Amino acid sequence: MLLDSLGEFVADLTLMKMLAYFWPFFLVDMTRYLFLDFVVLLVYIPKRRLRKIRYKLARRKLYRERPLVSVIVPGKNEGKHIPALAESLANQTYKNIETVIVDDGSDDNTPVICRKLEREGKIDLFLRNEIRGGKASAANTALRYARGKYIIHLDADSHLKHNAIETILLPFYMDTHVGAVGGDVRVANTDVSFATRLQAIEYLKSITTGRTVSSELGILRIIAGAHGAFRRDILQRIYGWDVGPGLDGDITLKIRKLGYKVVHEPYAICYTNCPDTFTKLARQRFRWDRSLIRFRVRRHRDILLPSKSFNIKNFLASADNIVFNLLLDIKWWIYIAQVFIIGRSQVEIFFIINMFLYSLANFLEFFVAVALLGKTIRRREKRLIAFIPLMPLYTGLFLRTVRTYAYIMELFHRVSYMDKWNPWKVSKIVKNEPLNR
Amino acid sequence: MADIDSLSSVDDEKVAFFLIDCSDPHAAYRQLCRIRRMVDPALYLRPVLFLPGPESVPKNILQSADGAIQAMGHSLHEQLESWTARLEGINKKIHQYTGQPNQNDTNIAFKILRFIASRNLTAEPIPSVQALSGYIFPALQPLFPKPDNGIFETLEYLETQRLLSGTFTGSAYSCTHCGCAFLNFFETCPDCGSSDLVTDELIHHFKCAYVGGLSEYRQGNELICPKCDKTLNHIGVDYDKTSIVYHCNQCGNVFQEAGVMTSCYNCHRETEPENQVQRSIKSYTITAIGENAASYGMDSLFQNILESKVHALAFSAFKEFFRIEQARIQRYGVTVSSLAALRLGGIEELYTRLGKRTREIFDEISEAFKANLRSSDLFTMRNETLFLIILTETTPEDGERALKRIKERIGSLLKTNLDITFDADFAIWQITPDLDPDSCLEKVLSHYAA
Repeated sequence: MLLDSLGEFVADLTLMKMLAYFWPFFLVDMTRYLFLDFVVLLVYIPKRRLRKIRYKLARRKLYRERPLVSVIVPGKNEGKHIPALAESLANQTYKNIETVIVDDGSDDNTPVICRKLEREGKIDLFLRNEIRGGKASAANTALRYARGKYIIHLDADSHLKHNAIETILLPFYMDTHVGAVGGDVRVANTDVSFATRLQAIEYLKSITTGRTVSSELGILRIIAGAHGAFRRDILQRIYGWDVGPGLDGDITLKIRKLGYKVVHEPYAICYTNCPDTFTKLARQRFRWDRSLIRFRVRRHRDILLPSKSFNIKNFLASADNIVFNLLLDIKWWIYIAQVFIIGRSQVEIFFIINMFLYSLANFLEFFVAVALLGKTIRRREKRLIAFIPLMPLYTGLFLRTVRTYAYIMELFHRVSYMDKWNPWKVSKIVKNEPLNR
Repeated sequence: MADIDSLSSVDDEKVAFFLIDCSDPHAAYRQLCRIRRMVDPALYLRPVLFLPGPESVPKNILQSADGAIQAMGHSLHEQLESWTARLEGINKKIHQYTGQPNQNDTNIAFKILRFIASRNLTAEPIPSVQALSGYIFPALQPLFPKPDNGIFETLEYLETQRLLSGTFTGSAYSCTHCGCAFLNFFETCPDCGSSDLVTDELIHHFKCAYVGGLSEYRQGNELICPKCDKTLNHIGVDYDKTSIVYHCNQCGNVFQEAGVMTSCYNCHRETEPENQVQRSIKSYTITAIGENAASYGMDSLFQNILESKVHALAFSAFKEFFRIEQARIQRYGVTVSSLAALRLGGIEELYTRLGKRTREIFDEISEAFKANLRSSDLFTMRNETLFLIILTETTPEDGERALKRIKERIGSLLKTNLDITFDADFAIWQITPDLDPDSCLEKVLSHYAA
């Protein structure tokens, strides 16, 4: 019965009808994501091959200079992850690194673990802030004592591929205008749960492919806190990180505003642990999504306005983010309303066709990611293909619901100033006296 | 007081106290010490009052005497009368202690016990830079010949014997090498051990999350954030002091957990604090057993050990056996036995040096006697330093060899373990009908005195 109706519906579709019924996919999502992904496949991959010589020269320059690189890891109650992280740092191909761990007022055995590692020489410096100040203050404490020419910011629950540090530094030696490099972030706990598998696919799409595209277009707007490299002189010039959440996106925009390039290096691989339940994931995304309103719409709105220092790429970086997240989120609700008003009797058919279209797009995007990553993609990541048909539900329903709720709460209630991410006294001050930059 | 050395005894009926002119406090203190270090309880226990002069007397010196009389002309006589009445209790106690003729208190622990008992004193420790141990017991200090930790050891020993009761008042670290309480605790770099460190007090400005050293924020009397130029007003409201970080000027190392070392101001040795001695500082009062011991004599620890290990006889029993041996030899006239008198110097020092560990050394000394005497020999001790031995069926020449071995073994024991140079005399006589043990002891003592 349903199949008959579906067949009739499809047979009756004209081009105009298709656009009218499925405009979000054809006019927005396919254009923005699928089309650009293919640009990457067709432009970036061959270009990268052509750049092989430049990469080789950059690597030679890096090893001739052998700069000290400081890996800074701020965190609270992350002690259990530090030994694995220290081991992955010890196994790096690039050796001239120092590790600075800052404990932001942990109330577990983190200090004991880290002091032991410090005594054993597995980390170079462990600093403990007895009074918790938030992640930005911990990162800034680490920055103060980091001696390296480059600073690599890592999340404690991450570990690096053996050549990650060497690879993330190469863009600095290929272009002197590069101020920061985002490393690739992949899911370490892929096989732990259904939630982590879906996130693994999402990361391959949005971080690996999405950020490579943005980087190639010169509009990369975020360097993940989990894995990012910065020139120390630039970090010192902007006095480090500001209060988060969303401090990684904030600092990326600040570096862009200074006129430096910000690029993504997909072959510098970091594996990070993702939330393993949908509840934890919703909490994490609620926090992340609020930062779009707080930082891009409120704090860095000057990027969008014509001024002496107006820069089209910075404008596009922010506009792309706002449009394709905030406005398209609104679009999604409009579309839902449209479906229920126009085709109330055919909701199932709209649902099935959308699922088909978005699954198809997801398959194609996944293939792009596999093609882009080549040998660096692991077998367990390839196996994720079986879960792709569920991605429309994950991104289209779950993540969008969380995102919409986050936007509303931040727009109308400024909830990011009340969460536990930062100590309440810090949030209180920041809410009353926001920084203007 | 004109000449303390000329004092050999005092008349209890006529002398209520000694009065020392304190116009020169240090000289007065020396005089007081000379009195307290005498062995006659009628002298060393006698109350001493200072007659303060115009110069203000240091507190610790003033507290070392039983009291002070203000020199105020016509009222002086009244004060003397008043003090005589107040000190009557002490003098009664002294009279009680001196009931036995020719009694000398040579044991420092016993002297301390009697001194505390006679005054019903609570010996309170007082922090003082004038003593290596960091504390003094002002009233007891003059009894001790050396300004070392002997007073602590002796009081601890008396507490272990339940003669004194100690009450904890505090604790203090003292040097593991010399016992000095003046220790310098200093932080060191865990990498190079240098103490040339600079501390950075980190400040976190809430508004902009900037973290920097206090000096970076300081502008005149204000704290101004170098990142956002805001003035920091209230700690905990708009900024926090998150941590302290050390920077080593020698090797450039940055760290938060500095090592801690101590150096002794006296012997200059450096070591970790955990290696230093943690001493409990106590105040002491006399117990009921202590009161009894002060009146009727302190059971000698050494004597107890010797009685159990080498079956030492009571002096009266020994004299009876000696008389029987004299009669036996005279009756049969075929055998030779000898009497040996032995004096061991330095035994008292063991109490002050070792405190409660004295027992271990006494055990060892007893072993020396046991190893070189036969089960048929008879042994007694007049006090802790004087011994008499009947060496049955032994000529004086053979006995001398045995005593030399005893002397050498004890000498080696004290020298090797405690660096005490052993001071000993002995003499041997063939037992004859007219030999008298007491006069033999006198001879040994007079030889020692000479």
